[in-house]
Amino acid sequence: MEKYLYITLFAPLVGSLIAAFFAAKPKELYTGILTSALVGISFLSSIVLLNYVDADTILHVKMMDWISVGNLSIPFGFVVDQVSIIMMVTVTFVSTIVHIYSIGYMEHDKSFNRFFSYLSAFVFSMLILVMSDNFIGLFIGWEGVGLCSWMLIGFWYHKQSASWAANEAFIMNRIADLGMLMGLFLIYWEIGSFQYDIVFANILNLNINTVTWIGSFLFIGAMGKSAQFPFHTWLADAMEGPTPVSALIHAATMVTAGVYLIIRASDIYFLIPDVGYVIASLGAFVAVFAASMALVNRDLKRIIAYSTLSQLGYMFVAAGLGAYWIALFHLMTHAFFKSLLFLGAGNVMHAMNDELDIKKMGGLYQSMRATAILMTIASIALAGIYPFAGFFSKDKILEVAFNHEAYLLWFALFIGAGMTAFYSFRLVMMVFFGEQVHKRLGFHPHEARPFVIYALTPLALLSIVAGFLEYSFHAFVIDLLRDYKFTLDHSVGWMLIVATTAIALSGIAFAVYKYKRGGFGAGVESLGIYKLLVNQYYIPQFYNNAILKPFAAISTFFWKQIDLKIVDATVDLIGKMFYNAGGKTRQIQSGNLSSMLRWMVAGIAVMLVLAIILRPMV
Amino acid sequence: MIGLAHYLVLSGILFSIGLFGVMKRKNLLMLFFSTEILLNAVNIGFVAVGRFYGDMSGQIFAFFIIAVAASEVAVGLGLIVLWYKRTGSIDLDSLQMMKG
Amino acid sequence: MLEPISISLQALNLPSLLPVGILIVGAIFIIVLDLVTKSGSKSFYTMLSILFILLDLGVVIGYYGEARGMFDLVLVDGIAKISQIIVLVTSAFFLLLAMSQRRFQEFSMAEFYALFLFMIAGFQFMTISDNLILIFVGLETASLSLYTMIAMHNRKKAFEAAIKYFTMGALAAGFYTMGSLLFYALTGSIEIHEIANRVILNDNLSVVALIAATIFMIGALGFKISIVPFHTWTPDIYEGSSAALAGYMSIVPKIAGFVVAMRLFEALLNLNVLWIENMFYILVIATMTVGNITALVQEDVKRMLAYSSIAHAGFVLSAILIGTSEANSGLFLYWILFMFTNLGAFTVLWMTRHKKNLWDERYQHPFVKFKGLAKINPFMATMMAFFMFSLAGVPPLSVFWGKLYLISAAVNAGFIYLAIFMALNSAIAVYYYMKLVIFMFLMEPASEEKAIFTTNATPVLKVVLAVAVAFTIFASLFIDKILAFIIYHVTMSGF
Repeated sequence: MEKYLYITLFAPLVGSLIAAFFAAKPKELYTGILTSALVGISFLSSIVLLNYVDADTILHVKMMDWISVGNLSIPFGFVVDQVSIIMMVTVTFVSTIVHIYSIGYMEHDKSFNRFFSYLSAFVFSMLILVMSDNFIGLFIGWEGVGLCSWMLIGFWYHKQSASWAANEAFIMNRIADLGMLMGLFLIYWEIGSFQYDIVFANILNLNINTVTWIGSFLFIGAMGKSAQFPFHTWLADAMEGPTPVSALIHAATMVTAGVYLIIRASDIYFLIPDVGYVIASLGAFVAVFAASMALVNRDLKRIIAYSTLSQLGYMFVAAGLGAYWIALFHLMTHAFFKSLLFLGAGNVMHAMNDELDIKKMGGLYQSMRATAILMTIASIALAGIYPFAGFFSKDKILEVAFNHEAYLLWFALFIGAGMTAFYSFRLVMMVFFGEQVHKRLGFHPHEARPFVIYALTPLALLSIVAGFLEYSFHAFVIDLLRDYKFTLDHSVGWMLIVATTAIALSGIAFAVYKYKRGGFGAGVESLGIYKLLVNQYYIPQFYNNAILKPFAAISTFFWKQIDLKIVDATVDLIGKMFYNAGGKTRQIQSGNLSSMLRWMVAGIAVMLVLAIILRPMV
Repeated sequence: MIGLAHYLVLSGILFSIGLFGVMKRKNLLMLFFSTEILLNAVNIGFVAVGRFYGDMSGQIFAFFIIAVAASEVAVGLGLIVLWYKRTGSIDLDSLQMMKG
Repeated sequence: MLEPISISLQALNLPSLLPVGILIVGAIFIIVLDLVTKSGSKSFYTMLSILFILLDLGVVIGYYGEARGMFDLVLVDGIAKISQIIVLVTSAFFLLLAMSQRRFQEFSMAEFYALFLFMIAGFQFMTISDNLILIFVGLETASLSLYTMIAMHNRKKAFEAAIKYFTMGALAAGFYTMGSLLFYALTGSIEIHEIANRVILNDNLSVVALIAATIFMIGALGFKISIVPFHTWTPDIYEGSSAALAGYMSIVPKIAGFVVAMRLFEALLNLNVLWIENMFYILVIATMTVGNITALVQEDVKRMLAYSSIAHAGFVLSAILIGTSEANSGLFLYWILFMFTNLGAFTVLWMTRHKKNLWDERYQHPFVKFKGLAKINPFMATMMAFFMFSLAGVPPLSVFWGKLYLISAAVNAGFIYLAIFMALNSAIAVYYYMKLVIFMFLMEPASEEKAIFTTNATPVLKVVLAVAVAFTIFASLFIDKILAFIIYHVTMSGF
């Protein structure tokens, strides 16, 4: 079985390296095919592993001693257990589809080969992240996906906005990673190991304050990667990258790494329910906050990005309240329908010559029937309508909140569910139905190539049926994760389902009704709330005005006044001090034999004198 | 009555004289004499202490020191001869090429 | 009439002395051979000497007999074994440097090789005994041979170096004997383990006298391993002798000195005399800092390496202060890693040795000589850069692991401030190692003439260089095996 583990892990790396050889060359179709095939192989072998892993058998291999010097030993191993295999299957599955899709999507891009090299490298890093059996491996994968994300967001680096967005994402993540690193140091300091099993076995012995610190620091890392408030701005800007990248990295996999971290470290968070509650509250806030921004945005991809943010908030609510398996379940179903939504959006973009403003589309159903159907499926799943996948996972999260008697959180999520339904169908309506604005603007949309559509059908299928896997999923993962006990009455549970479905349906109905007749009038746009939302609560401006500008001003000041005059001088001084000290100590070395001998005798004499003077000390 | 302490004090005084010479002398030959004094000062001490404990190793050590001192002289004089041939001086201050 | 005494050959345990015997026989054989034939060439003698060294190495590794021999004069324990292996392997590699392109007077004389073997025998004596007499004899045998070999380089600077080294060595010998005398007077024994035992048993011992004895020993051994303020010989002697011998001196005499220091001072530190511990603390930090700071201002690479080796010695001396078996194992590990890196660095200097001092009146290897070497001879520059990175402790190159291991040993034993000082000093050191890298890679070459950098290179030297660079780069692959070997032997002998 180890064989399959290594195949899963290294097949994408091989693909990436091969594609990297051709990175600077003009497009070679087979790099795309080869990398897709290798990622596909990786997917198949992770399926084999999925069948292999059960309650009694998990696969744990120690590949090598990464650092082993005396009692400092950091082994580098991988573990395939119920949690990591779910992640592996999800990641490799979505990656395979995104790879195949990209062959079509990147068809005319001159950096075709480079793209596939990066994309496969990302898959490899992500697999390291989820398969590692220790925090260091996780952190390496964590940084690896961060790096790949940076390269892929800035893939069209000649576009200024793209490279700016890439840097923003990278820097925001580094800030958060600092928190994570501190958490890791704290773990090592207190426990002396990075291995999950050792850490979790010993975490009980630690002071609860220490555990709180560890949990909080790790969560800061998770916040950065999963773009939770206040680190959320990078995710929307990251939409500058090619759409397959958005689908794979910024919807289905990388951004969920934060959730994965919380689930993986559930043994830690279980001990600190207070921190968990904070996480859940933040999650609920983000769920509504992001959904509200999605309500009014006109950028096709940004709407989906905000929706991703909002869904990540849902996952954090579940994880924070201790329903780890539900968080993981929502992570998986979300990966399917959200990547489908993104890839569909990619088709639309192509059809519209990279136009993203949904106000300029409308009525695309005529020319892009297949894409329209796929995106509608994904939207229904996202809105959480029975029997689509989103229904099962999202409803469970709401039940968890209610069960926890966190009614405020529940209410936030409930409102969020209504908003989700509304903005999803606002998007569908404005893009595919209604007046054909694009014709007026002179666009000639065309459907994507057939193989691209076929590649998306598995995702659509799973978006529909994945929810029915709930019971087997539950049975599978609770071997490893703590089960979540519902104490709700059965009838209350039913009422919740009915209520949630009702608000989702009414959100959809409202959207369909409104946009069938051309949407809201121009009057809405002058409303204060609209402006607030369209401007993303003015947070980017806030960052710009309150942080960036003063920071720039302060930096200039510091640079001119303090750095040049004080810091530089200090650094110079320290440097000079050492250098001068060197000059001084150098004089010991006068080269004169007599003085050398005297130094030796003086050494002895001084020590003897010290011995006599300091006799009381001995 | 001359006891162990006297021998040790003598040894200490001779050792100090040797150290003083090592520090002060500018003539290489004199310097070597000083190091000989150092070693022989220790010899006196060893023999006296060995006698005090009724133990042979003190004497044995002294013999070895004498042997080592002799070979040191052989090597040392060889080096002085070389230096004298090169520079015509056995003054310590002529050895100042390397420093810093 | 004395009683006839009978001693069985078994009690003498002659095999314990066999390794040293091989070298002494070998040395005499070379002298006799030279008398008889007169026709022996440089490479013949080199190979013959290496043959003896390898024979010796085989016997050392294969020795599994009693640790004690020759009326307890000889003590072949684990650390003796490791240090002998280090001494012999290093000697074999550095002796290969004799096969250089240009002719040097010393290498054409058979006596050089005989002296070399005598010297190794002396170092081996130092490591395989805890008897102060035998250690003294070994130390002097080795030192006297070394003085002569330095002088045989036949330059004015070499003579100066030899005389300086000799005079200071004689003073250190005085310190050594005085320290031994004080120990003897205090305890009536000249065997280290016995001295320690008797100090513990004797309650009304004069502590000041004990400290005085320790101080003299610090002076004597500190001279050998170049502890501040007994370090002043190091840069001058390195500068005056050939790069091959200087590199040798940076490794072998010091490891022999470390073993003696380990045996003696750890026994003393175990007595928990606070003063000795504090003194060592000061010495370790002073040695590291003075070595590093003075290295900053050097203009010559060889002199810089001399100061850096002082700093490294201070770093390693911390192991004796810490005194746990982890630290002691770290000492040997560090020295093995340091050995291969230094072997490489000095081999590069040796290969670039030119007939004239082209770049500086005084120095053979000033920094300016290496200006733009990356453009002239990129291969050599890259290798030298590897050695510098390794010495600076850049992961994953070899010396990094030694530093890491020693610092973690310090932390584990509770010497937090010491660990901080060690880390800080490593940081200062980066500066002067990088200086050379900057000279080689970022500056424009003074002349494009490639040949002047390889005037002394031969295939043999290139092989040595290749071994050194391979070890430096790939050390992490077999470091745990080396370490397991070291830990086994160190703990076996109770350190």
